[in-house]
Amino acid sequence: MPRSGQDPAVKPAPCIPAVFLAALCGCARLPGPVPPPAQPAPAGPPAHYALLWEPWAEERIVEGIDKEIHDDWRWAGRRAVLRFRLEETRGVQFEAILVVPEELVRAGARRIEVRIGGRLLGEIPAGRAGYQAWKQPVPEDWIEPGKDVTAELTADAEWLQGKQRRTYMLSSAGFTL
Amino acid sequence: MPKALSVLFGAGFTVLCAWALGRMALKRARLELAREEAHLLAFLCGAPLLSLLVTAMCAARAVYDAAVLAAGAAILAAAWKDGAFRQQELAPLPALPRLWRWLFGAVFATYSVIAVIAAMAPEMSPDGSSYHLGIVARYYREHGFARIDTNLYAALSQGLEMLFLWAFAFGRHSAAALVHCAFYLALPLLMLRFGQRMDAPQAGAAAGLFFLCSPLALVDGTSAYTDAAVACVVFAVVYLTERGAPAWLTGVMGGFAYALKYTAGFVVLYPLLRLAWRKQWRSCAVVFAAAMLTAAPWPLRNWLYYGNPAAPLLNRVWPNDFVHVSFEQDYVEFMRRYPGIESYAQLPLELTVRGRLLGGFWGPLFLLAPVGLLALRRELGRKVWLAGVILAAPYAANIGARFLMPAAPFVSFAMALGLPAPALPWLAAAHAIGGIPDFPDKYLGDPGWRRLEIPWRAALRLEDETQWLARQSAGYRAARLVEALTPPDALVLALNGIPESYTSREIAVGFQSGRNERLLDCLQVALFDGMRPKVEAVFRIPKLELEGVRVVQTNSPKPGDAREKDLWSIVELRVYAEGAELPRQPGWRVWAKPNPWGAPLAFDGSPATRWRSWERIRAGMFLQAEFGRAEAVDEVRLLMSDDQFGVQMQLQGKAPGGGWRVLGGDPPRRRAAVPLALRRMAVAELRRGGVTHLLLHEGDYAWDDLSRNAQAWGIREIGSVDAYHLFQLE
Repeated sequence: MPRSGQDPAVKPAPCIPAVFLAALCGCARLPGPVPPPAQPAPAGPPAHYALLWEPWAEERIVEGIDKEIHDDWRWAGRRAVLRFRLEETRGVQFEAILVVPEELVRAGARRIEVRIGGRLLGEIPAGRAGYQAWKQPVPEDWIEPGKDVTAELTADAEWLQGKQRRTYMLSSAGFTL
Repeated sequence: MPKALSVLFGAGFTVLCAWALGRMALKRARLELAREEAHLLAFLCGAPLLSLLVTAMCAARAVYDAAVLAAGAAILAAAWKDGAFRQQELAPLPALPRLWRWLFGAVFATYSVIAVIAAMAPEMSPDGSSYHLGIVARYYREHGFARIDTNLYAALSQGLEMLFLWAFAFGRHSAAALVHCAFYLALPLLMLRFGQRMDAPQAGAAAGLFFLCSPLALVDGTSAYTDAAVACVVFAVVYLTERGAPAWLTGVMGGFAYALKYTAGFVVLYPLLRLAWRKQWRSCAVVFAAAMLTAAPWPLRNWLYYGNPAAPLLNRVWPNDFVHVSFEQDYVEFMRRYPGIESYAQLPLELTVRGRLLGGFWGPLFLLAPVGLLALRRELGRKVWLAGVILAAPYAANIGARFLMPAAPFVSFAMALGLPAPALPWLAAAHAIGGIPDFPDKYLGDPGWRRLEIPWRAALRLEDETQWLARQSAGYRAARLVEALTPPDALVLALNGIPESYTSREIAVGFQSGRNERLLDCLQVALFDGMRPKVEAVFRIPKLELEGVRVVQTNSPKPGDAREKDLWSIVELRVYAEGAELPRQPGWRVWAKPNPWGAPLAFDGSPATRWRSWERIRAGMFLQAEFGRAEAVDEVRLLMSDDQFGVQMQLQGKAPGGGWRVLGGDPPRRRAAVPLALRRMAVAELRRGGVTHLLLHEGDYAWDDLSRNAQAWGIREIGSVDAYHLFQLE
């Protein structure tokens, strides 16, 4: 409040920035909720990758992988074969995500060979138990867009769980960037 | 040579028009002026008026050569009619001692010649040739203001750029630099006159030379930057305050300081404090009001164009999609501590003799700056320190050497007052000799940013401008390549800046605006493994009837936490019931906070786009979808990237007719298949965002993958020069 004798004309001055800022703060232009954009045609399960906890992964499995799904993985046999189809072959890598159990190490395993279309891409080390996310670039001339290609994972050892032959727990495998 | 004449005309016409407006303003200010200060102050006081006029012309989109020429002619005619050109009988200031008359005269003349030559040379400074003049050139092409959403620097106040634009119309880049040079040269004269006025002529002369001959002031003041003009204008505010100029004039100059650079607006505190000290409240109000009015066009433009009057700052106060809060958070941190600066103890040597880490150096003379504290014994010294402290205060926000420019004249003055008078001529002379291009190289090794030569052949255009620029300016030829190989409406996404003022094409540098960051994000999502959509977070809940689902962020990392800088992102949010996805209907409503603009990106079905918080994670952020009716829901899946370890989420549901309630905590995450066509999808998104071309340098992080897999990306190289490669999006 102005005290007696003060010029009231000068009193609003300190209020000006506060009023100005408050007014502008109230003018923040935020959009409200909006409808979702136009939706693309629904895509089916990917043909280049197998998520082994998904039922549709059966379509990718050729042999050597259990039908039973445990949480987010399946048992793989000594020789596991999957079939994929790629729409893009440039700059892609092959990936396998798996867990090597202690039993496989004790059985003397050293490696899991990975072959793409019959050609050796590399070896996943299996001499130590634990989680493995293995990825390796795939030469462009090994794969053709739109054509089936097989990926073969061959362990150099296996172990027995009851009467079942086991190697490692495969979570997912396929082509990625 | 004709080009050199057009450069001189452009700059001369600008200075003349400012001077003419200033003469008319000073006449009305009824300020008693001495002969030596009348013309100097006329130029400086006319500059804000001319700047406001050009601002109005830009707002009216009336910037045409003929309009500029006609407006200039009208100003000069009005000034002539007002008697501005008439000789006045004015009293002189107290004379300078003979030694100082000669020393100041000789050094000032020498440096003026060097400065004018340097400024006339083709503009090649990093910021000048990129955004300062890039934006001026854009305004010139569009005849006024344009909403430039690809360059956050376009939202800075542009008081000086308005003068650049006036000069640019006739002399292009070098004319603009020469206008800045006029302020650089006016400042030492103003400091000298201030000293004469304040009964400290030797200190004024010495301080003027200390500033003039500093390597940083020389290189900055002769480029199309704004710092020397800021220093000059803030000094003029102090000068006018001490001269008892009318409050409206001081206020206009203070507002102009803000129009030149946000942080320079602090100078208004000086007259306000001085007037408040004398209890001149009415004058305080007038200073404040005049400053606000002069500064007002810039917050007003920013609010209209960018939704944030303080753009590109304060984006949390005024949320907008022009500049992301995350950018501001990172930028502010970066500016407080430049790379290589581990301790503030490094600053004295970096600022004075090294200059490599802080973008320039002031010269070894400024190691004596602490002596300036002795000036506190005198009243003039205390005034100078008050102004210096006010203007140095924002320095902590950006420790680059040139950000001391507004305070430098006052530090110089304090030094000159504190040092023994007999030492001043020797120190000034040594500093002057030591600052000539490129003497610093002889005694300091290879210090930071400075003038390396006096390019008189280039200045007079005796050497071909394009060849000189191609040799001197990294990226100049890339700018010309873009100009030659792209259509006029091209939008070129680049990862690093080029001298974009030399092309008329719009260059969107990755980090320079929210739009650019979002475009670049599409590219990075396909480029970097950690940013690809390869994680699926799955909330499973008992089947419920819900009207909407909301994913809420629950983590607020503490400062110093390794995840403090994480941003939250969601590529797709999908809702399921009994394993089947709930189709997204037009009746749905999607929203997010922060970044509501990006919410649709989490519902567009594209793995190449994502909603991002664009702000460091904090509890309470959310992304939601409302269905418009009750739907059965038992699962919500979030497709995400792997670059957000600090993110902790909670699922909330909206019960029919009720409010939001918590349904589940942090969800388990599992692998998702990355589409092999992600690169091509990213480029499709860029195209959808308006990008037509990509400009990459061989040193860019994206170069390797994009050049090796160009076909997979859907881009085609159409030209290259100097390790720059231009790709067209197919």
